[in-house]
Amino acid sequence: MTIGRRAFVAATLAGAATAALPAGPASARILPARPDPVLLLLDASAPAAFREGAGSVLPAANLLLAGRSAGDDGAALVDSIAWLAARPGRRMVGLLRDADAVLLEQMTRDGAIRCLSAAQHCQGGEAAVQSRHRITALASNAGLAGALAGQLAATGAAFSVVSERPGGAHGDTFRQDIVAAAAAQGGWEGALGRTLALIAAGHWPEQTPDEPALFTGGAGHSGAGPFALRSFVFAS
Amino acid sequence: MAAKYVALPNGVSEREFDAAIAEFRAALGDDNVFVEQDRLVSYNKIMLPVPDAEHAPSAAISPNSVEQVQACVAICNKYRVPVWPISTGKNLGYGSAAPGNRGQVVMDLRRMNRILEVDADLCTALVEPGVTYQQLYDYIHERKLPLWLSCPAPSAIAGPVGNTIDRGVGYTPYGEHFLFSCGMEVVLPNGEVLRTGMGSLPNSNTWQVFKWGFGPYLDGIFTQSNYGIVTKLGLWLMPAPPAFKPFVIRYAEEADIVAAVETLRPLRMANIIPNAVVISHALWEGGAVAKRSDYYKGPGSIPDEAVQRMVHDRNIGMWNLYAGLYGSPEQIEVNWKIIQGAVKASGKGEILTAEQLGHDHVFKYRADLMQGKMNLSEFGLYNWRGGGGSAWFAPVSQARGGEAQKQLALAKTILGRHGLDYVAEFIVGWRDMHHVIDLLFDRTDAAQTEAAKVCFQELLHEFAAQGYGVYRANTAVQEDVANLYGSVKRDVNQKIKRALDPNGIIAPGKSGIWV
Ligand SMILES: Cc1cc2nc3c(=O)[nH]c(=O)nc-3n(C[C@H](O)[C@H](O)[C@H](O)COP(=O)(O)OP(=O)(O)OC[C@H]3O[C@@H](n4cnc5c(N)ncnc54)[C@H](O)[C@@H]3O)c2cc1C
Repeated sequence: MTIGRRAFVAATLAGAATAALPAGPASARILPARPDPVLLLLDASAPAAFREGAGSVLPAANLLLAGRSAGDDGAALVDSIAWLAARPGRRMVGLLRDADAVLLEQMTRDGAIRCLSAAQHCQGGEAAVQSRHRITALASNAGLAGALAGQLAATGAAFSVVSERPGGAHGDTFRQDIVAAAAAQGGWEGALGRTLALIAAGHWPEQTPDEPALFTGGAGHSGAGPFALRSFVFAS
Repeated sequence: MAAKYVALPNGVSEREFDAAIAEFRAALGDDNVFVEQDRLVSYNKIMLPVPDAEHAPSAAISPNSVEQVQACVAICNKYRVPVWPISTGKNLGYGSAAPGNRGQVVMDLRRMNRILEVDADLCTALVEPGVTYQQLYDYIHERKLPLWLSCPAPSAIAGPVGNTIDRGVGYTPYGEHFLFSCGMEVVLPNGEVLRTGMGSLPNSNTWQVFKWGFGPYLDGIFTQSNYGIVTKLGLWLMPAPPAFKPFVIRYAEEADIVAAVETLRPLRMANIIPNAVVISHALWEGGAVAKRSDYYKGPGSIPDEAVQRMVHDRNIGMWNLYAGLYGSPEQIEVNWKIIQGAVKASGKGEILTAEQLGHDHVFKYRADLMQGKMNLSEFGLYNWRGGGGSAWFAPVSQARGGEAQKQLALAKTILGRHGLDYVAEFIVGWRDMHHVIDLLFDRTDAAQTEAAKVCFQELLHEFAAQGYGVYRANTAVQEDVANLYGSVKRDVNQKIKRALDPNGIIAPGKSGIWV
């Protein structure tokens, strides 16, 4: 397979939220036809609440579905990076499974692309804590870790949120108490989608950069199935 | 208060670093020098079981010519700032694009991405470090040249210079990449430019065809080392064969690895099977396309019973030996009969070809790699467990069935102690095998990350106690591996380092080599 040079199918987030979305295969890729400078890149299995949360802030955002199904060749990722890098001022918000997220990150090492937020979200497995989140704390996503922890606390299930600054000296992490937030619509996934969309849109309030921190709370299981996803916001 | 830099190089003050950055900017332009957090994130994404902070870069710089590399080296010498060169920077599971040690400046050579020459008669190429396999593949195909590449599994996004310099492997008959390289250009730590082999001779036109030149053969010392920055590399490309026949031999039992290797070795050594063969375990074969939680959700390593279930469900072998025949249809026909005879005589294994499996995703991606075609399917392994942790443990083995079995048992025992899965394959050379094990773990789970770290150390040390060493190592364990290879080797490496790079500015610590 040669990646690159694809035919694009257009859709917007607002339209797609109600339409039946084609997922996965190369023939059904969706790429932006609208001038909106934001692209939402989602794994086909990403929680609908994330997309709805992002859509509440960015109803006109373009939508592209990825999904490493058999035969998928990563073209959706190549296309989205090409779109992002093509013009300054564009933004990409996403939630992908590991394989695609690793590939995508590798493609963002280009002087023109900045990372505004990056995080790993895992649920299930054998870990003592069921819902686990690792956030790269940047000036642009300051406050995200605390906000996410508040939402997770509201669910009542056991969780951990680790927030690490790039280069943050090892061992300077401290535990923070968190206050359960009022549960947002769509749970923490919806709140995450909304927050990342606000960051992408430049409407997330500026805050003091997060110190390395570990937030924990809750007890027991949420009942939700296992998953491993990565969220991000990139800007050109 | 937020610090000005993500990290600082060891022993360099903020003021000195300010001055060095100003000079990098003057030499390369502002757009090619990065110190901002949001631009350095992608140079700090390790997948290893250690904190990212241990591999945080202080800056990234991106020269686009030999002269600019020389200018950077001069600045590094002036301020004693260490640089970590990367070519395409896709060394995933070995340290990615992050520096070996905190505070080093990443020298990202991706902008030096010119394909300088492809000679379709002699089947050679000369490329710069930023050239990707995809770029070279497109170049060859756009010009309809009858040439094949050999690429590693990350194919499209990785590149021949970085892969060859780290002594990586591919899956065609040219799969042992360093063996099929010919001639390097290297910017030395003092700024001089060395061309190895025939390249030192003015007006030479044999740089890419004759490896050895005159006197000591130097190319090897610029691989897995920190003695210089490679700015050009010559490659031998494979003449496209008139015909190609990929096949897989599936083995039902784990103990069949003995039969697989014993059947294969004579065929491989006699070049009847000419390519770098893969014998992949079911957990690799299935792991690239399935999720662990579909088969097992309990504690510890995935049990053999669950692996058997996956083998059955997905109709794969416990071992899956992928190989190819290359040549004219007549040659292939003769060799095919020999292979069928050998497998039949061994009494084990079922041979399948594209006729039966052409539609199968895994067969297709393996067949692509055996023809040097771009394919990113293997990244699916990262969805097996999820959580973003991966570290390759890759000991070398003799190509003997008994040795493979011994390494398999040892690896499974150690991995089992730490609840990690045996996601592995053997890549078979003429006499050796790279036993490549992907330690996949969840970095959001502190206990599992610690388990992976301890497990890696046990693998290194318990394999070494049996006389087995790795062919390549990730940046978090360079010191340990260098120690395992003994003090005399470390000493010699260091003496060369001191002679060539007295200020220790190029990738200090790479392969455990310091000034
Ligand atoms: C799913 C998966 C499958 C993989 N399969 C394979 C495989 O089949 N075979 C294989 O070999 N690897 C494999 N890898 C590992 C790795 O991704 C490849 O080896 C890849 O080619 C290395 O990245 P790169 O080519 O971008 O080299 P780089 O990352 O650019 O370079 C590797 C290292 O070499 C040194 N270096 C690079 N350039 C220079 C230079 N110009 N001067 C001096 N030193 C330099 C540096 O120390 C650098 O860290 C796999 C990884 C994944 C995730």
